[in-house]
Amino acid sequence: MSSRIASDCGLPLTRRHFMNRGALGFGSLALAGVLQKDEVSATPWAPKPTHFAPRAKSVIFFYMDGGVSQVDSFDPKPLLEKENGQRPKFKVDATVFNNNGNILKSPWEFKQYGESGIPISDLFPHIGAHADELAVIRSMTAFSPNHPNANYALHSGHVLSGRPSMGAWASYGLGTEADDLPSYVVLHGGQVPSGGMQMFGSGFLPATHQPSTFATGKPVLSNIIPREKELSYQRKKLQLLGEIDGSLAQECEHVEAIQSAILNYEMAARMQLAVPDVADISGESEATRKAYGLDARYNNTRTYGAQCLMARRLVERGVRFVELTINPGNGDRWDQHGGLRNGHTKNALAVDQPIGALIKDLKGRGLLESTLLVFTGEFGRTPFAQGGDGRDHNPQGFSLWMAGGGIRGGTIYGATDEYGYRVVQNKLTVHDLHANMLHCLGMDHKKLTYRYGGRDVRLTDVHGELVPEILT
Amino acid sequence: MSADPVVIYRLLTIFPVLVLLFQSVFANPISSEDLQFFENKIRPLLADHCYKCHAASARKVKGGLLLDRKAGWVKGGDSGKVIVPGKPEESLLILMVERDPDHEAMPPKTALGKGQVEDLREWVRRGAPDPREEKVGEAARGDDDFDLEERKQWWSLQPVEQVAVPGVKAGDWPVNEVDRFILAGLEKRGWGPAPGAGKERLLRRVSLVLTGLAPTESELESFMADESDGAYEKVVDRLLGSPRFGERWARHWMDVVRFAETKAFEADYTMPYVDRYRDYLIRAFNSDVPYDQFVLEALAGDRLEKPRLNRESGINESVIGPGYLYLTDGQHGPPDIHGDETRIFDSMIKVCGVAFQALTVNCAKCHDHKFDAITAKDYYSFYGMLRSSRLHYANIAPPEKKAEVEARLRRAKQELMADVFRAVEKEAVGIGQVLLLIEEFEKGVRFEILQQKLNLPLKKGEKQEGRLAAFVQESEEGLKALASRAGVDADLLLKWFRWKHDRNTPRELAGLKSLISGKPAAEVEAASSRGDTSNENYRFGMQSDSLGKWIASGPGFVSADTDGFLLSQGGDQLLRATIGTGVSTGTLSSRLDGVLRSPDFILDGGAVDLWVRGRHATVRLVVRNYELTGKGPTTGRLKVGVNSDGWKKISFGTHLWKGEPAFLEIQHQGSGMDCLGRNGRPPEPAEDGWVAVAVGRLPQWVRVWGEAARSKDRGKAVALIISRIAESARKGAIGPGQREVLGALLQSGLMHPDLGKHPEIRGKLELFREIAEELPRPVYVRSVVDGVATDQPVYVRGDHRNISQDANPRHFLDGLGGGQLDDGGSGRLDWAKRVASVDNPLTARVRVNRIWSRVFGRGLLASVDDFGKMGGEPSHPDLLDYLARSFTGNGWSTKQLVRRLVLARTFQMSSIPGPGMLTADPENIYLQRMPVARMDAEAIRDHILSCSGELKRDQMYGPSIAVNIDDQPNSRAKPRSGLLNGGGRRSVYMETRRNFLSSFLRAFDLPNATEPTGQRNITNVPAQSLALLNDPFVHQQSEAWAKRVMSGGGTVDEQLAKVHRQAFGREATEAELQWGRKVLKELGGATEAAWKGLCHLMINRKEFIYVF
Repeated sequence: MSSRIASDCGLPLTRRHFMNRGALGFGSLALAGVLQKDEVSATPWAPKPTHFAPRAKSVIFFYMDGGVSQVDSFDPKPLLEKENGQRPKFKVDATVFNNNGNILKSPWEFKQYGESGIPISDLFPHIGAHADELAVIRSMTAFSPNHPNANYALHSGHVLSGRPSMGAWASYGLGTEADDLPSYVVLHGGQVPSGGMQMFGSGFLPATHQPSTFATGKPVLSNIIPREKELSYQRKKLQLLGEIDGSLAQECEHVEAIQSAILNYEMAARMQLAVPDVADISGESEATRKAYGLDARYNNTRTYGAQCLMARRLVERGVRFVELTINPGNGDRWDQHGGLRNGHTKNALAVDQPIGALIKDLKGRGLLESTLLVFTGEFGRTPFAQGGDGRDHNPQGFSLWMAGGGIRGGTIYGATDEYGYRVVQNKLTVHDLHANMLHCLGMDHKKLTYRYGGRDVRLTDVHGELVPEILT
Repeated sequence: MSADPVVIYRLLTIFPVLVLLFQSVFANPISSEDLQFFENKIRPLLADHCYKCHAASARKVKGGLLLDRKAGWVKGGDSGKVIVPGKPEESLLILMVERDPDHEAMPPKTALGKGQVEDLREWVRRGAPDPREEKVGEAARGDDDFDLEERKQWWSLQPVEQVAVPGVKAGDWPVNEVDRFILAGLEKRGWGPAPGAGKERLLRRVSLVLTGLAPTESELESFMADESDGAYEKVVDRLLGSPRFGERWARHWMDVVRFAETKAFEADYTMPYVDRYRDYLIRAFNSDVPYDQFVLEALAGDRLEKPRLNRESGINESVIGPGYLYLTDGQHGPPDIHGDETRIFDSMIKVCGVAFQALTVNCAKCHDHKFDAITAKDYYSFYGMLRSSRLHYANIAPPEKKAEVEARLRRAKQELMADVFRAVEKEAVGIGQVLLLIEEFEKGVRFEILQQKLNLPLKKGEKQEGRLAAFVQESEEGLKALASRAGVDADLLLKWFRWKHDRNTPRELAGLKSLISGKPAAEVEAASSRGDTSNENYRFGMQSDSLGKWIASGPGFVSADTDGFLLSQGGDQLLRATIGTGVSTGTLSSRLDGVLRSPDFILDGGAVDLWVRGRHATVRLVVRNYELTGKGPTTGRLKVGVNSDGWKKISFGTHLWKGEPAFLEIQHQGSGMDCLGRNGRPPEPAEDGWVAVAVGRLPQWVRVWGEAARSKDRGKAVALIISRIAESARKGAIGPGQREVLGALLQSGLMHPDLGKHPEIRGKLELFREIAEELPRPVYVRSVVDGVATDQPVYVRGDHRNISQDANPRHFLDGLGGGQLDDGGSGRLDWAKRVASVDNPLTARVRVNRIWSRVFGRGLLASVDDFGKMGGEPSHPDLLDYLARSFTGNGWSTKQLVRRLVLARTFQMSSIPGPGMLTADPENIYLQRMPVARMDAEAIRDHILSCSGELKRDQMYGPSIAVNIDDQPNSRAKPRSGLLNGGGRRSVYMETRRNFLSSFLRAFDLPNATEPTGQRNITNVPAQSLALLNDPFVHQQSEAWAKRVMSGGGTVDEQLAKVHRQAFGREATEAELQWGRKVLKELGGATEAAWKGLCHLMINRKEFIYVF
C-alpha cells in the first residue's frame, strides 16, 4: 500500500532485504537501501586520503593559555642573571600595559636533559625526561601582543575570530578513523581562553568539523546523556522512531540528506555509549593512574592528568585532533603580569607530570610514533619585568616544542637574541607551525583548501614553510 | 598663471631622484677598490640572503624590490627608496638588516651576522658602488597585470539586459513569466517539470518560506476547505501581509550584515540598542520599503534630505539604516589603535561590498583584486568614507513633533522668565534693608551666644545642617520681630540670614558672602574670582573662532535658546542649573539632546583639556574612531563622565597615541551610550541631563561684587546690582558672569520668587512643564554621522604603517564607472545613490538573486555573495535580468517579487525528481522539481514552540531575550543564562552574543555572527541528532506538547491526528495512526509520560525539520 508520504515525496517502493547492521539496528532498518549504495559516505567524518604518507595519525595539542615565559622554560639566557635589575639596554616595544620595568632574571635553574642535552628549566622535569623526543623551537613569533588576537592566530592563522581552527582543518582534511567518536575534541580543563571558546570553532568550514567539547566534569559532552531514566526506554523510543522514519527513508530515497540524518541517529546512539566509555578511566591500572598524577596532592595536576589520560584514550580510538585547555585556579593562566614565580610554578605543577606520563605511555603503547604532540602558548613573555615580579606579553620571540610522529627528537631550532626578546635566527610564525603540523599528518598545507568568499582559503593563508630540520 | 601647489610638490620630490640617477649612471665610474669590495663582500651576500625574494628570478618578487641589479635598489620598492648612498643611517635597507624594531626585519627569518651588517653599512657609506648596470626599464618589471578594462568585461558588470520572455512548447503549464524561463530551460534539455505538489505540502512550504513558521491547524483547515481557484493566492497574500513575514526576512538580512549584539574578544561587551536595528529591519520588510530606499538608508540614512518617518509613530526610520555598520567585533586597549581601525573598517567594507554588490571589495586591501575589477584604491576610497564618518547614537523620537513642541516650549520659557526677572527686580529693592536688619540683629547679645553654639565642634553623628536649622529656629523670633517692626518680608529676612550662616556657598556667591560679612573690598574681589583658573587660556577649550567647525548633532546644541537657565521639571524650585559662557544642551529640556564633536586633529602627545559642566553627560577623546573608548587599560582613560553643576576641567593624556587623528566628543545622555558589561541595556535617558562646554574663557564674577564692596551703603549697592542684573536678563542683555550669579541667587533661594505670592509665575511654570512633558522621550539607535571629509591613500600591501604617497580621492568603484564622490561630506550619500540606481548592474541582480535563493533554496547564481569571477555564471542569466528589470520597474518591491516567485507554477511543483533526473541534474540546477529543504535553526526552534503551544506568535520587538547557556563553560564574560524556552519568543528575538550563541541553534547552522552570510551552511551531523534527542529544551517542549494534546480531549486517534497536523501540516495516514497507537502502548498507555515520549519522537521524525 502506498502511503501519503509516498505519494508526496517517494519513488515507487521497491522490495529490499533489510540488513541488520549497526549498533542498535533502528536506523539500519530504515537504511537498508542506502547502505547498499555507499557505506563510506554514510559517515559524516569518514576518513579521507592524505596527500602523501602521513607520519602521524593524530594530534594532541597542549595549549598553554596565557603565554609561557620562554626564558623561564626552554630558552635559557644567562645574560639576564648578569643584568638583573638593570634598565634594558635594548629598545622596548609598547606592551599592553606599558608598565615596563628592569631586566628580570629567571627564578629557575636550567638542566641539560638526555643525550641531546636540551636545556630545560626546573619547571618541567617530567617533560625534560623525554628531551630526546622533543624538537624545541626557540624562534616562534606571534602576530599580536593581545591575548584574543594571538589566540585566534595560534588556532586559525588569523588574528580575527571566526576563522576555522587547526583542529577543524585537520578534521576537514582527514576525517576520523573512529566511527563512534567525533574527529576533533577539545578537552576543556575549565579555563575559557580570552577570546572565547569559538577560537576552537570550525568557522566557515561545515559544522561537521566543529569540535566536541569534553568537560572534565559530568556530563563530558553536552546532550550526550539520554534524559530518559533508563537507556532501554530510550532504545525502545529509537526503535519506534526507526520504524516510522524507515518508511520515509525508503520513499525519499532521492533525498540524501534524509538518509544521512537518519544515519546520524546511529552515530549519535553510538556516541552515547562511546563517549562515556572513553571518559571512564576506572579500568586503567593503578600504576597508570599514579603516573598521570591522578593521586597528586595538587588538584589541577589530577584534573590535567585525567585530561591527558583521556587524550590517550581518544587517539587510541582514532580521534584525529585532541586539544587540551588548562585548568582555572592556578592564580591565572600562564599570564603572569605579576607573581611570576608563584603562577608559573602552579601552572607547571599542573601540566608537567601528566604530559611526561602521557609521552611515556604513548611510547610504551607504540602510539607516540603515530601521534604528534605540540606544546605552546599564544606568545611568550618579556625578559624584563612588568611591575616588580611579572612579565608582560612578548610576541617577538618565544619557544614551543613538538614531539612524536614526524618530529626529529632531540632538536633545538632557531634562536632569540641574548636576552630572549626578539628572534634573530630562523624566525617562524604560526603559519609555519601549521604547515609543519599538517605535513606530519600527510597533508600539503597548500593543497588543503576550502572555497569560501570567492577564494580557495588555506589554514596557512599564503604563507607557511616546512622546517626540514625538525622533521623526520 | 597661479602655481599649482600639488605640481610643485611633485617636482620637488622627483627632482632629487633625477639627480641621483644622473649621478649614478653617468658620473661615477667605480674605483677598483670599490669594485673589489662589492664583488667580494656585497654581491655574494645579496645573492645568498636576498635574491630568494628580491631578484627577477624569484618565484615571487616581494615588496616590489629587486636587489639583483643596481636599478632595482635605485628605484626602491613598495616602501620607497631603500638606500641613500653615503648615508647608512637613513637607508631603509640598513635599518631592516639591523632589525631596527620600527621596521620590518630583513632577512625575515634569520638575522645577518654582525660582520655582514657592517659590510653592508660600509658599502652604503662608500656610496653604494654597484657595477651591475642594467637598463632602468628592466627594473620596472612588476607583477602589475591588473587590467581594469579587461576585468570590466565580466558578465555581472554589464548593463541589465532587456530580455524577451522565451516561448515554450507546453504553453498551458506556465502561470507566469518565471515559469516560461524555467520551462524553456527544461525543454531545451528535453526534460519536463514535476507535477504539482499536494495542497498540504504546498501550504507548509509557502508558509515556511514566507514567514518561517509552519501552518497552524486552523490555517490548514481553512486552506483545505477553500476549493476556489484563488485559494492559494489568498494564502500567499495572507502570508505576505502577516507581521511574521518581516520577522523572517529581517533574519535573512541579519545574516548578511553579520548581525550581533556583542563585541566578542575577551569581554564580549554588549553594544547598546542593537535590538532597535533588528526591529527596524522587521518593520522595513513588513512595510515593504522599496529596496533602493533601503539601500540609501543603509549607507547614508543619516544624510537623507527627507528622512523616512514612520507613518504610525512618526519616528525617523532612515537614520536607523546604518545601524549595522559598527556591529563589528572589538577589543579593549589595543596597543596599535591604527591597526585596530584597519581591522574594524575591513569588516565594514566587507559587509558593504558583499551585501549590496556581492563584490569582495575587501580582497583589494593589500593589492588590486586578484580576479575582479576592484582596485586597492577602491578599497581605500571606502576606507576614506568610514574615516570621514563617526559612530553616533541618534535620537529617532518623532522629529516633527519635537520641532513643534520645541517652538511652543521656547515661547513659554521666555514668558515665564520675563516674569521671574521682573519679580527679582522688584524684590531686590528690599534687600538693602534686609541686610541692615540682619546686621542689627547680629549686634545683640543673644546672637553672640547662639553663634558660639553654632560654631562648637560637631558631636559624633551630628550634622552641620541640623545645627544650622536649630540656630535659625532660635533666631527666628528675634528676626521676625525686627521684620514686623520695619515692615519687611520676614521670610526674605530669614532666608538671607540662614544663607549668611550656612557654610555651603556656591562659588558664584562667595564674593557676595564676603561682602555682606563686611570683609574689605580686596577680600571680596578675591572671593569673587575663580582664582588661577579664571584666566586660563586652556589648550583645547573651544575658542569661539574655531567653534564653527565643530559638528553638532541633535537639537540640543543647535537650539538657539541660550538664555543659559535650565528649568527644573518638578517641585517649587525654578532652576535646575545655570550655564555661564559656553554651548550647552538642556536649556529647554533634557529631551532635546545633542552631541557635539570637534573636527579631527592630530594628537601631539600633550594633554587635551577642556572645561565642562552638566549631568549624565560624557566627554570622550575618540582616537581613530575607536568605539570602545572608555574601556580597557589604556583607552579607559579617554572617557570621562560629567556630573557636576560647577565647571570642571577635563584633561586627557595622549602620549600613547601621538600622531594619531582624534576628535573630542561631548555627549548629552552619554552615560548610557557605550559598550556595556555583560547584561542589559542602558538605563532610560535621564530627565535631568544636560551638558555645557566652556567657550573661550570662563566668565568673570569679580566685577559683580567688587563695585558694591567699595560703596558706602553696601546693602543698597547689593540691591541695586541684583536688580540691574535681573533687568539685563529680562532684556536679554546679560553677560555670562552675571548670568551665573543670577542663577546662583535663584538656585540658592536668596532671590527665588515665592510661588505662593506669584501665582502668575506658578501658572507659567506649570504651563512650561506641561509642554515639556509633551516632548517625546529620546529613543536612541546606533547610526553614524559625517565628520570631517578625509581621503585615504592606499596602505601599501595593506600595511597601515606604509602609506602611499599617491592621493586617493574618494570615488565610486572604478569597475562600476568610478567618479569622484562629491556630496559635501563623507561621500556615503553619493556612494549610496550610485548603488541604489537602476543603472547599477549589480544592485538589482544581487537582490533578486538573494530573494530567489531564499525561495528556491539556491540562487540563480549559486554564489549569492560573490558576483565576481570566482562566483561563476548564473544558471538562467536571462531570467535573472528579466527579474532584475521588473524588480526595479515595480518600485523595487520585495513583496511583489516574492509574490511572483511563489505564485509561479515552478514553486508549486512536487519535490519528486522525474525519471533519470537524479543523474541528469543531481543538484537540481534547472529546477525540474522543487528541492527538499531542511528548516533553518530558527524555524526548527520556532516550530517546536509552536507545536507545544508555547510560541508567543504575536509578541514583537523589544530588548532581546537572553539565551539559555547553562551548557556552556563558565568564564568571566559569561552572562546570565535565560529561560530554557526563551519565554516562548520567536528565535529572531534571541540575543546574539558572539561568545555565547545558543548551542541548539548553532547545531543547526546558525552563523557565528562574524562574516556576512548570504547562504548558510546546511550540515547534517550527529550533534543535531543528539540535540533533538537529549537537549533539555526539546524534552521540556515535548512535555508541554503532551499536556496540550491531552487537555484538548478527544479519542486517541483524534489526538494522534491532531499531533500530525501540528507537526507536519497534514493528516496522518492509517499507518501513522497505527504507529502512534503502538508507540503509546509500548511507552505505557495513554499516560502523560507516553504522550511525552510520542511528542518527543514526533520532533525527532525527519519530516519535522524537512520541507518537501
